[in-house]
Amino acid sequence: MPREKFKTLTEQMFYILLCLKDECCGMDILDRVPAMTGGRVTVGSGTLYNLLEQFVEADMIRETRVEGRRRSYLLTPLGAQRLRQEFERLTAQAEDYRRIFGKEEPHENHETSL
Amino acid sequence: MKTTKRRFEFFTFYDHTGIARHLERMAQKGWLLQGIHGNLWSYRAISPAKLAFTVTYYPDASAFDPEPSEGELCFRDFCAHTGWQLAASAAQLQVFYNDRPDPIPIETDPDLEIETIRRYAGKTVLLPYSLLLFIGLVSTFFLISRLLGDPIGLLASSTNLFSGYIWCLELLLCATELGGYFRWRRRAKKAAARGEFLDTKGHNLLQRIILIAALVGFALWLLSVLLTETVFMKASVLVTFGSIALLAPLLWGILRLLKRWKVSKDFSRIIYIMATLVLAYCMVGVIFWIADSGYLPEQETYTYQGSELALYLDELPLTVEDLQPISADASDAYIRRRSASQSPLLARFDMAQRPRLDVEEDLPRLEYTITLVKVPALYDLCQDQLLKYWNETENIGVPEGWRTFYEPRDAAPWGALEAYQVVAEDTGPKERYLLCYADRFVEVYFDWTPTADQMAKVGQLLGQGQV
Repeated sequence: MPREKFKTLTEQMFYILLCLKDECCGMDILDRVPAMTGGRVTVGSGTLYNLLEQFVEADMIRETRVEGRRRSYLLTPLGAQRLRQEFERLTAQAEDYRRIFGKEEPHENHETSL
Repeated sequence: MKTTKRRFEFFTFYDHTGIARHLERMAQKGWLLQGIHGNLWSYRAISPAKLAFTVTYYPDASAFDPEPSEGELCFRDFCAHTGWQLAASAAQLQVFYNDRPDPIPIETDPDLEIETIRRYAGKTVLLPYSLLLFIGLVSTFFLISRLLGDPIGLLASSTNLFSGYIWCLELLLCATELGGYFRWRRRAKKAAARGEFLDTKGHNLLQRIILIAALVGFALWLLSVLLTETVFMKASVLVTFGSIALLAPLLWGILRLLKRWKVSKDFSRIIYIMATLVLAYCMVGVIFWIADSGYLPEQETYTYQGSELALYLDELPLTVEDLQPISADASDAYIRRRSASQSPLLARFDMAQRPRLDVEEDLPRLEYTITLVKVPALYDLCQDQLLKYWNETENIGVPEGWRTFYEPRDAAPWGALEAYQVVAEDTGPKERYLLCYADRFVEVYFDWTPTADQMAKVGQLLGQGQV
C-alpha cells in the first residue's frame, strides 16, 4: 500500500527541508546537503527539482524570491512541523536502539550477541 | 574529416538506461549527441571521451513549446550546477552528459524517477499506444474472422494481406512496448521499496526487426499494386504515399516555423492539427482530380434511358463466341468485364459477358470466376470455401425445401479433376458449376445448358495456362 505523502520523510527530503530553515535557492541546497552530511547524503538535481515542486504544492515550503531563474524558498510552519515530526520519529528510533543496546558500539554488541 | 553524423535510432520510449549506455559508447568512439529529430539523431565529432550520460524527462515540456519554459531552464540550471550539460532535448526527453568522474546522478530517489517517467508516459505515450493496441486488436480480430469465413477474399488481395500484416506488426510493437513498460514499472517499484534503482531494458532490436519487416512488406505490396492493379488504383496509391512522404517534412517545417515565430504552445498545436487536416484533404482532392482528369484512360460509355453507363470491353479468356456462333452485330452488343484481385498466394479473376441494357435481343450470357492457387498448400482451403458457399452460406435462413447444394458430376467432359453442379431443392439443377483443376478452381454460370463440346472448350480455355 502506498504510504501517505510526506508522512515520513526520506533522508533527502529531511535534509532539503533542514536547509530551508533559512531562505536559500535550489543550487544552494545542492551544495549544502553534502556539506552538512560530510558527503554522506547527496541530492540529485532532478530529484531536488521535483521535491521542491512537491513541497511547494504541499505547502511545506514557500517561494520567497525570484531573481531571474533563481528561486529562493523557506520552510513554512507546516513544513517545520513535518520536519519536527520526522526528527521525533528518528529520535524515538534512536532511543529505542539505546534502550536495547545501551551505549556500546553496535559492532561490539553484535559480536557479543554471537 | 566528418564533423557531424546522423543516425536513425530506435529506442523503447522508457529505456533511459539503454539510451544512456548507447550514448556513452558513441562518446567513446568520438561522437557526442547534438540533436534529436524524431528517430533521426545527429552527433558531432569530439575527441573520444569517457562521458557519463543521463536521460531524463521533463513531463511539462511539449513538442509545441516555442522555447523551453522557465521551469525547464531552471531544471537544466540545477543539472548544470552538478556538472550535467544538456546534449540534446526533444519535447520531454532531456539528454545530459557529464565529464566529471563519479558525478552525482540527476535522479537520486528511485520513487521520484518512476513517478517522473509515469507522468511523461501518461502525457505522451500511453494513450496513443493504447489506442493503437486497441485498433490492432480489433483489426486482428477481423482479420482472423475473415480468414475463417472468407480465406479466398483475404488471401487473394495483396492489399488485404499487407494491411493484415501491418496490423499484426503494429500489435506486436504496441504489446511489447506497453507490456515492457508496465513490467518494468512493477519491478522498479519493488526495487524502489528497497531504495534501489532498476535499469530499463528496451526492445530496440525488435523495433528494428519490425521496421525492416514492415518496409519489406510495403515494398512487396507496392510492387504487387504496380504490377497488377488498375491505373486508377496505382495512381491513388502513389499519390497517397507520395503525399505522406511530403507531408511529414512539410509538417516538420511548419512546426519549426511556428517555434521560430515564438507562437504559443496551444496556438501552435491548433495550427499543426489544422495544417495536417488541410494537407490530408488536399491529398484526397488530388486523387479525385486524377480520377476526373484526362490522365486516366477514358472509359467508353453508352446511353440507356437517359443514363450514361460504362461500356466495358475487356479481353476475356473465354467468350460466348468461343462456345456458340454469334453474329457480328450481336457480338458488338456485349459488355465484357474483367476484374482481378491478386496476391503472391492466390489470384481471383471475375469475368462476365452480358448483353448491354439497351439491347432488346435475347442474347446468351456467360459469367465465371477463376481462383488461381499459387501456393498448393492452400488448395484444400479454397476448395472447402467454394463448396461451402452453395452448401452452407447461401442456405443460411433458407427453409428446407428451398435450399441449394453442390452435387458431384462427371469431371471428364470438363477435363477437370472434380466437377460439381449447383442443385436447388425446389427447381432442380442450375447451370452453375464448380470445376476443380490442378492449380485453379473455375466457377462458371451459363444461361443455357452447355454441350459436351462446350464443356471441353471451357476446360481447354479456363482450366490451364495464363488467365
